[in-house]
Amino acid sequence: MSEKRKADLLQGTLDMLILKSLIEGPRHGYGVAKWIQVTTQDALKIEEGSLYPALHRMQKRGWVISEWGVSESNRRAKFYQLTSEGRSQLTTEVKAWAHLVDAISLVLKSNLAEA
Amino acid sequence: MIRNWFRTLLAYLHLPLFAHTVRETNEIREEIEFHLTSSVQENVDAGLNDQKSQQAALEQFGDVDSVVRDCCNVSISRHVFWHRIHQVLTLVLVCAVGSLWFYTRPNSAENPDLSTLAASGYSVAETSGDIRGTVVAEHGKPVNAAHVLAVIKTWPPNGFRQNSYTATTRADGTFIIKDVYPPEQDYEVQIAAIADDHLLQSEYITMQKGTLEPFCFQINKTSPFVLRFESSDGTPIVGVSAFPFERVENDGHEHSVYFCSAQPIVRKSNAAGKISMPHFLPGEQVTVYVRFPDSDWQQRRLTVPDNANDVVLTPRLKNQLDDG
Repeated sequence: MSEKRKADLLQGTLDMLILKSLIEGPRHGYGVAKWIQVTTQDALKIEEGSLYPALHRMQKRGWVISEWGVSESNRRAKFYQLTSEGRSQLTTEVKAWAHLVDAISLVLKSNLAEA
Repeated sequence: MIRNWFRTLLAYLHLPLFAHTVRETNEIREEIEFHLTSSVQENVDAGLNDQKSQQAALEQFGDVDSVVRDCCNVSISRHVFWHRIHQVLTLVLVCAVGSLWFYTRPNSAENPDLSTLAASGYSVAETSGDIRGTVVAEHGKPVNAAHVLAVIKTWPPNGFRQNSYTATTRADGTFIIKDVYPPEQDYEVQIAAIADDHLLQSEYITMQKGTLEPFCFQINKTSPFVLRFESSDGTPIVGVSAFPFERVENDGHEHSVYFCSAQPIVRKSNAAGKISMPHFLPGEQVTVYVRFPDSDWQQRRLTVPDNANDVVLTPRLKNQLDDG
């Protein structure tokens, strides 16, 4: 039940989280997943099976580019890097998300007042 | 956006669709393998044994094949787009080259074997049209041995042809000139009928296709008309050539003989310098072609006298245009 709730939270926000994870520099897929998990203090754990199709989709849209490199464990890994289009998209999605949060907050506050 | 298109185009040009699919699948598998290895290592570091670490990593990741397939579909869709563009451009190129070849290929119809060409400029097989008809006098009486002079104009590919044909009528007044025009192509016909002591008659068939209807000339009897050729001092000139070229009826209707078909009706002046040319009506405006010895052909316009007097023609003086 708890995992299901986590998954629901991620609906529609996966792209934004991935883009945000790349804002500081290139990361491989595993690094992206770990960054989200650590940053959210294990509150959000993205479905790894969804991560890679999302990364490829974002690459297709030109938001990220990929390049093979060497990981911290000295293994070959594919690193994803944010493009200028990806930065613009992140800004757009963050604004939309903030707007959504504000709207939901208003609804919740309204319900509390009425209650 | 344009940069992304350019990037995917370069990727497509670098590897065609099939090779790209194979490479992309291998790369995705390698990418996922790195992810699983890292995940397994993390589990091992957390205290799980190897087997459980691998099992946990796989469970956490989900169906690897499905993820590979999803990634591949996304990646290939970019290539498929350019592949479609590639196909369309190839098709356009093939069509363009095909059209170019079609419109510039050596055309056998335009460059036929000359040995198979008829005088019309078309093949012998195409030049199958006959000219036939009848020449009669008053009351439908057949005219025997009348000259029929025909000129056929055709427009074979890259050219124009004008050919003359002659025939003489049989005892029943009929004539036929075989295989002279191409019924399936454009052509024109000028045809004249002329006989001694009969009026010159002609017809002109303007541009048409198809088979000609038989001609029927009615050439009525006419009165004598004689040209007499003299030098300026009144001496008859022998050996002057002449033929009737044109007559204009009082209603303006013209009848003529084309120069190129006139050979059978050219006459020479006799010892008295005379040529009988009984093909006109008194009072008509007519044109005759004459050629004095050691001279070129020249036109003379005359008015046929109402009486039986001869018309005298002398070698043309400077600026002299009309006679009679």
